[in-house]
Amino acid sequence: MLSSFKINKLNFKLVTKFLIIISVFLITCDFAHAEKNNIEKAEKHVSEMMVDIQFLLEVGKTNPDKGRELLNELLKKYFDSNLIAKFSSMPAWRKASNSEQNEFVSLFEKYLVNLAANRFNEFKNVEYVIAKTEQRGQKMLLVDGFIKAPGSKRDGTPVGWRLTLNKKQELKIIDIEIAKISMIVAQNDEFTAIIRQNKGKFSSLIDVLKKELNVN
Amino acid sequence: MHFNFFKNICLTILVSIFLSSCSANNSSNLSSIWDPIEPVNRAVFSFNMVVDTYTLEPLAKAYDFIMPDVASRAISNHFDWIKSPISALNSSVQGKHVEAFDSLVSFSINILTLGFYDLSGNNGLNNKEDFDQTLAVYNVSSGPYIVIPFLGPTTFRGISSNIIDGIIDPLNLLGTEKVIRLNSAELPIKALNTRAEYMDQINDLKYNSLDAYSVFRSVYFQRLLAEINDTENGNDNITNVNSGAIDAFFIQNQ
Repeated sequence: MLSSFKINKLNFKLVTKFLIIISVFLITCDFAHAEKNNIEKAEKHVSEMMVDIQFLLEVGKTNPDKGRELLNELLKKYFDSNLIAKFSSMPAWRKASNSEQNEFVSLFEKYLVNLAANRFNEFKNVEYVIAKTEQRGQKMLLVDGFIKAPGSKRDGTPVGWRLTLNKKQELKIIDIEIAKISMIVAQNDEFTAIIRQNKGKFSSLIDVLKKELNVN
Repeated sequence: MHFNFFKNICLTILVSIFLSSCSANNSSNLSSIWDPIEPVNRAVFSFNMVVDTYTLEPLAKAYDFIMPDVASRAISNHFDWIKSPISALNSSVQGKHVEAFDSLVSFSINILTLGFYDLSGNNGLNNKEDFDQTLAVYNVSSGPYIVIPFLGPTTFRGISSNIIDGIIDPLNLLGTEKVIRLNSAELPIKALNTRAEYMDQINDLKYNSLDAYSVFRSVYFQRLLAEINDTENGNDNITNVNSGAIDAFFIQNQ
């Protein structure tokens, strides 16, 4: 009776250990698989966007209005303008009212199209080579690569794309790093300086954007 | 006389570094730029922008138009080459002995072409280290941000480091006066070449920003951080260091 109890106790311990090991193994495999999936998705996202950029640059050459329309679509498809707006205006964003935040996002999207139009020229007649993709934390991914344009000054310029998984588990770009200069950090410094110069009023940033975009 | 002069310079530098290291700011923090004399800096920046608009930019455009890309690249290589000995010395102080050795080898090989053509096959100097980066590696903080008329942005640590780099430059063995004369003669060409090289990027920041001053300042600090972490050329081994600072920005602001 006693020996059978000992065996049962031993078995129970063994089974528990075995189950724990299996669980840890499965969870690790699941994370690794999810990470691999995300990395593949991120690289595909950036590669497809590069193809779309080349297409819109071609269209934009002959038809600027159509090019701008395509640029709007491209931003919606590949970028998370809400999150970019939020990060660009932190920490003032937290103190802004909902209506101010909404108005700012709407203006910022237009401003972003203007900015992107200038930045995308960096990718005119060039090839983008992905060198490395890394998952950073649970939600963020960094696609790192460089511009391939033999004979051009831009050849070899490192360009990184920071992507994040949104609530719908879709990947969206939230930052571009050109030659290790993060556009969102530069944007945040600029917006913060504007707000600070106007006594910390978030509305002042909205006014500056309206003036820039000629919106009433 | 010479000894006293040298002693005064050394004292000034030591005091500068001490004051710089006492300051609370650290340049490796992307979100905290220390700019205590911002109104003065903004005024100097505006002056520099006027100088750029009416002299440097048009001259650089003409230079870019006349100068073939190969020649412009050769001039950049030459300026990198001339900095190789000081770069080797700083790499060595930072404990990067392999890079120090590479810089010395590259300098020695390229003496034949004065650096205009890179015989070592590296397409220019990849390892660019100065005393500013050396101090940063030893956790001396950047000190206040300063915009200097005609010369542009720097920090308190940057100014001190430039003086030290000038003094400890092994090229001084050729004669300090000669080196100063050479540097003075090359400075305008270097300014033109650099402005022409980054024409699109600088003009993009200058003309498409809502507040150009803060954007240039941000870019200056991000670039400095990338140089300190050796990630400016997309060095794979240490890319994470710089990106880590940007990751921190996103985490802080979530």
